[in-house]
Amino acid sequence: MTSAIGEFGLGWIEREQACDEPEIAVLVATFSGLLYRLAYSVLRNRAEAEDVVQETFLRVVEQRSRLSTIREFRPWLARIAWNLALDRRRKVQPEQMDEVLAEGLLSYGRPADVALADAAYVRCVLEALDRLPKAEREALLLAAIEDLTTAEIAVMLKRSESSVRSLIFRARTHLHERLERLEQRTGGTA
Amino acid sequence: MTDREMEEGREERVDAVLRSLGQAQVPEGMEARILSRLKERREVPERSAWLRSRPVWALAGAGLAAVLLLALYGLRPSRTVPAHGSIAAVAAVAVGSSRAVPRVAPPARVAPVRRVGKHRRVRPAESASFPAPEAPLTQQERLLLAIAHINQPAVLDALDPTRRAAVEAQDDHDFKAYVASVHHGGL
Repeated sequence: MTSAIGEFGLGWIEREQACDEPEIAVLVATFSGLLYRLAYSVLRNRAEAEDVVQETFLRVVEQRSRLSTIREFRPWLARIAWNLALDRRRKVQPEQMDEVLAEGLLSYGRPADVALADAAYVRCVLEALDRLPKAEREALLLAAIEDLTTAEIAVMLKRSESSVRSLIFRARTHLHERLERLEQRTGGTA
Repeated sequence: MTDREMEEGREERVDAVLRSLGQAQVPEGMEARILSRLKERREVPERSAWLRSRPVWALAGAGLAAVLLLALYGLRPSRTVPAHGSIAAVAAVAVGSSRAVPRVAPPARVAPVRRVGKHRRVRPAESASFPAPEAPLTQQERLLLAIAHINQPAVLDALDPTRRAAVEAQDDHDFKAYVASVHHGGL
């Protein structure tokens, strides 16, 4: 077991009284950033994303008895967080948080009218992203997370690497097409 | 602005949005909060964890207990004869059919005497009482009996005003005595 996931310092799992605090701390320090970004990309809400990370580690502790069967720990952990985030997404309305996200993306010092137009465009991108087919949207969001490799995304989505690459390409193409149509409708003001 | 420039601008904005989603900064203190939560969870007693993880067993146990209780208490045959001192029994006596009231066995359990205050002891109202006494015959019943029995001087007696008044007085006395006996009998 240690050979499968030992590189992440999970010796505590083998002990009868599992969960040594320092090693859990190592685990949390190693993976919390990745899990947070995964959850945030789906939920666009800081508090909700943090809850998902907490819930993921609680699941890990609860399922410590079957950890010995897990060969690829990192994608496994990422998939738990991803699924939890998708579940939570049904309750949260990310649109509510798009305003905050859009404002965060604006660069300061720009004229007010330009800043407003930029914020509107960001909201359009997020809306177009939400309307993509599920598989394409998920592949594109996962690809945006730098910590994940294509191989890990493939494990998470239970697809081949070439299939993931194809999904990402199609997602980008569809996103551009939607935005182009939107620009044509609004006369390029969006 | 050319199409090429527009496309590049669009590409740039899409990348910016995706970057902001995929490279969000972890909130300060998140790791400490997670570790604290994990520690709290570990301190939850093992028994409640067992119940939480096995709600099916708890539900099955409750269901089994309910079935056993129903089998023990819910399926007993209901009594068709009212207990002594009940309203139904008294009503049957009051209409003059006390002889038709069947004898019933005393209840299996007598309610215990309950102490109220310092000295008084009261027996619960639903406690068993003795059987109601038989009601006396009314004048009409006696006349019917007299008519049914030949060669008795009942008819002449009934025609005598003095005797008749005495008989009515006796009837009244008997009835009052009956009511008094029923009243003291535990109602």
